[in-house]
Amino acid sequence: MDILQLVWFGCLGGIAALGFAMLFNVPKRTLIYIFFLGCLGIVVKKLILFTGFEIFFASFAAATLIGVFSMFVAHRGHAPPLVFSIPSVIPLVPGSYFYKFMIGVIELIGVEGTGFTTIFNETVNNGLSAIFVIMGLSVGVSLPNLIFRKESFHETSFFKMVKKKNKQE
Amino acid sequence: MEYSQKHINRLGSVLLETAAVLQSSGASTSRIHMTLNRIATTYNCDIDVMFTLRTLVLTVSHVDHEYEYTSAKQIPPIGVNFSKVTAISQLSWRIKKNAPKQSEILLELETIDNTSHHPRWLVVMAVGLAGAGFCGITGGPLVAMLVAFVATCLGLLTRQELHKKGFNFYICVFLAAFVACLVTGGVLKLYPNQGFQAAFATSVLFLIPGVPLINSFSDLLAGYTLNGFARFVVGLFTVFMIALGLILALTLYHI
Repeated sequence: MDILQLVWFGCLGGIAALGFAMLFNVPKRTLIYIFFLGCLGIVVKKLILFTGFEIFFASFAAATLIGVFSMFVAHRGHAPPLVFSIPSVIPLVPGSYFYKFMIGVIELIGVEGTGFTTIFNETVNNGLSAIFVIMGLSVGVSLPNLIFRKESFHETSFFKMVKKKNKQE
Repeated sequence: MEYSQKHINRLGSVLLETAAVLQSSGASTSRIHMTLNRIATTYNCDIDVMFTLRTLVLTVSHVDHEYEYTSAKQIPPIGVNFSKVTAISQLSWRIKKNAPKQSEILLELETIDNTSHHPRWLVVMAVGLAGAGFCGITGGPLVAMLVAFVATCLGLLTRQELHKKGFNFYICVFLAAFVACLVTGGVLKLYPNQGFQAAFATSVLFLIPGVPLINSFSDLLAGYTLNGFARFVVGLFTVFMIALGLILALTLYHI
C-alpha cells in the first residue's frame, strides 16, 4: 500500500466525518478536530488491515483510538467527548458488507437447489461481519470514557484523595 | 443560602428541562445523570431519577430532607443536535462555579433550545460529500463518487421534507433510503460492471443511526440496561427500514 493512497483514504474519511458532524449540528470550532479524527480512524483501520488482521479487530482498534483522542481533544475544543467521537467513527461503518448481506438475502429468497448453500454461507458471513464490526465500533468508542473518567478528571477519587492530603498537611 | 419549597420546585423544573433538552439532542444517559448531579449538588440537593427514552421522573430533595419535589416530563422525539449538548455542558460548569438564580438558568436554557441549525444547503452539501467520501473509501471510482453525491443529497432532501411534513420517523428513513437507491440503482442498471456497486452500497449510509447505536452501548456498559436496550432497538429498527428501502429499489430494478 503506497502512502499516497493512504492519504487519499484519510482525506475521504475526514470529509465523511465532517458531513456527519454537519448533520449532527456540532459547534463550528470542533469541525477541524473532527476532520482529523476521521482521517486518523480510516488510516489506522487501513494500516491494521494491511498488516493482515481481521476487519473486526481493525475497526475496534481504530474506534478505541478515536475514543481516547476525543477525550483529549474535548478539553481543547470545549465540548463533550461524544461530540468528537461519534461523527468521526461513522466513516468506519462497513457499508459494503451490509450491502452484500442484503443482496445475499434477496438471492436466497429466489434460489433453489444446489446454489443455496454457497450463497447462504456468504450471506451469513457478510451479515455477521457487519453486525460485529458495528458493535465493535460502538464498544470501542465508549470504552475509554468508562475507563478513564467517571465524572471529570477533577472529580475522580484519585484527584480528590490528593487534594485531601494536601489540605491535611 | 436560604431555602424554601419554592426554590426546590424551581430547581426541579430546571433539572427536568435540562434533561429533556439533553435527551432529545442525543446525549447518553450517564452524561445526563452526571449533568443533573452536577447542577443539583451546587444547590445542596440530592436527586433520584428514573430514565426512559420518552419520559423522565425526577425527585429533588434538599440534603436535610426538609423539602421535596417530584415531577415527570415528556421528552420530544430525538433530533440529534450536538451544539445543544455542548452548550448545556458548558452551562452546567458555569452553574457549578457561580450558582446563579434558577430563573436565569431557565432563560438560558430557552436560548439554548432555540439555537439555530447550520444553513440547510451547507448541511446537504456536506452530507453529499460525505456520501462521496464513503464511496471512495469502499473503493469506488470518481464517477461512482459523483453518483453517490447526488443520491445522498436527494435522499437527505427527501428525509428533511418528509420530516417537515410531520411523517413518522421510520417512514422518513425508509423513503429516503428508497430515493437514494433509486438514483444509484438506475445508474447501476444502465452501466453494470463499472464499479457503481460501491455507490449503491454507500448512498444510504447517511441514514445509519450512529448516535442511538453508540449511545446504546455506552448506556449498557454504564449499567443503564433498560435505556441501552431501548436505544439499541431504535437503532436496529432504523437499520431495518434502510434495508427495506434498499430491497424495494433492488427488486424494482431486478438487479
